[in-house]
Amino acid sequence: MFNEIKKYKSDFRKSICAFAITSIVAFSPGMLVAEDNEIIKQDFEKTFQQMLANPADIDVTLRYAELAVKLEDYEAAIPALERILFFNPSSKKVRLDLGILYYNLDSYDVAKDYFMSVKNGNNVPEDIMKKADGYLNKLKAKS
Amino acid sequence: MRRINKFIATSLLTLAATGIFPADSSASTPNVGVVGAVNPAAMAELDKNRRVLELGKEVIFNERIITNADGNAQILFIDKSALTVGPNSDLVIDKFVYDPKKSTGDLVINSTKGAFRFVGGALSKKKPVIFKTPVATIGIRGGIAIVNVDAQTGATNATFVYGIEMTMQNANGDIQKTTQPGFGISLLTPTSRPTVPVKVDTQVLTQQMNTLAGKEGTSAGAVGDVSDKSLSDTSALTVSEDTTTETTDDNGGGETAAVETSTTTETKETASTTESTTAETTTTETKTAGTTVVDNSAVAKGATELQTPSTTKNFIATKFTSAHVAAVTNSVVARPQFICTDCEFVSWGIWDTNSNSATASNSIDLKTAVPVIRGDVTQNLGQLARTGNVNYTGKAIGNIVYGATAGMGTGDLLATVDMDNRLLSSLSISNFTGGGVSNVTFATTGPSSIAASGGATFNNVFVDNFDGTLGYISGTVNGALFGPNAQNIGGTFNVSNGSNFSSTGVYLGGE
Repeated sequence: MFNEIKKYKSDFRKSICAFAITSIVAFSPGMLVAEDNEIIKQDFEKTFQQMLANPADIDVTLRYAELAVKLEDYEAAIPALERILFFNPSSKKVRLDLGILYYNLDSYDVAKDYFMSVKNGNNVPEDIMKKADGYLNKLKAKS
Repeated sequence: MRRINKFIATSLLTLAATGIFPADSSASTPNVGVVGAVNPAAMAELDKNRRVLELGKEVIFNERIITNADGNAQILFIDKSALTVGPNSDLVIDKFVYDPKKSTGDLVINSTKGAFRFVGGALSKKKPVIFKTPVATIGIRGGIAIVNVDAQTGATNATFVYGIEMTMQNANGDIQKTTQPGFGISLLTPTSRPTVPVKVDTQVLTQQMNTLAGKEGTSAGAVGDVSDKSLSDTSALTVSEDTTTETTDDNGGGETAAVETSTTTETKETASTTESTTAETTTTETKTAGTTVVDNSAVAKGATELQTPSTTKNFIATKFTSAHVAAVTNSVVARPQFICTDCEFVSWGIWDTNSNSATASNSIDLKTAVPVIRGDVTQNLGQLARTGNVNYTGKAIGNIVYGATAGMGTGDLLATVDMDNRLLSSLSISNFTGGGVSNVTFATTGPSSIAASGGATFNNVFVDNFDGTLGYISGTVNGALFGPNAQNIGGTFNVSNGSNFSSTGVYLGGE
């Protein structure tokens, strides 16, 4: 696991692919030793300061969101992604991820709103649409 | 001045980043955060100096943020909170104190109009962040909420999206709270009571979300290519094929769902513990402040009618409005003061044997009309956090038969409930006037118990209340407390002097 974190630190762009919400599995804090978790926390704080200094930096914002998800601090990840949605309101990928974040917070109505905005979008990539449909089915089963 | 502010702000940020704030220090920071995103037509104003909001610029304490119909913005606070500001909005950061070492402090936002989404950071996890509007004070604890403030009236709607709890308080200190995501509370005026939390309609929520979203074709001040393709090329937003294969089935469920369920369960357990502690704290604070907390979990479902109507009678009015009173006034006596503005959870009307219409404009046979009362009876009074003596004031109305005269009379209600012992300590109807009698008083002579579980109902009697004209009057009085937190009282009474006077009516009152 330590090597995994080390690799993440040395090659962010590569490991960042594990973001989305599926990264919760790969980097669940429950699976990390405290020391590893502390490294992520420090990186999280450092990235936040970088984001404050330059909120227009989309890469930094995404990195902050990813670290927040790793720490299961979905509440911190949400405004970062919603800000990116400000930058690109048509992004279905961001809408899908926001839907998943709200879903994880049990805020199902808002999650549904984001998933529906994906479903009703134009030219939505098949994998994004499939995931949105999957979550909408899960929400339907809950209602 | 701005340079100094920026210097101080930068210093504070640096201190926060390096963690060298003294452990016990709090700082009233001039710089509360930065503009994280902004679309045109958003302004900031401080000391009457107005500037256009720009992406990345600092937001200063006490600065006014204004957007017009095309403007919106996101403010990123230094405690990691974020406030999305929708079009046609106006707000001031009234208070911001943040100790990054302890992650404690205060955030107070004052808004006169607009649409907002607040996402909590460090501060709201420890203490509610306060959002003030012309009519309401909203507390957001550990969570996310959407707030809408009407530009003309200040009427406020707040939707709780996620978190520990959201409260809404009026100028009198009456509070409603919710812990259920997707539920909303509204307040129309500073002195009306906040509504019981209700589930926000899906379409309304979508509208709120759309209002706060960036509009297609805008880029919120971002420079460069921010297209979806660009993001996917450089960001984490693309799901790794390998990761997907390992953790997600084709429908976004399967293994991923199982893992998520496990994670969610752990989170819920933690949240549950926190919630419990929070509820106790809130109750204590409320008792000290002498205010009313309404917990929606105690809301009785459906109105309860204390009198069972016969099938031959028609209900004239389920809740008397000024129009209804006017209708009664035309045929009887002027009693516009009868309307009980504090009686949100109980109402009264008349079953009339002779009228076939359910409109108030039809004539009412006062000899046969039977006033009735309806409302949400308080449930499980013994479990509510109510203590001490509570006084209820209101009105009573009843038909009167006095010799050959018949009419409608009204009077003043005063009731006292001992919440500690769940007793109706006293109840009196005074100044009962109409139908040929005037200023008659009926009062209970002893306490009666109120049910601790189930509906908070009671029964009592009026015994030998002496009136100079009518002689000794006796009768019965039944009733209940109404509202999820026993905010109202109401019931029926039946009195007579055993010869030429009798009256049957209803009473209701509020704290």
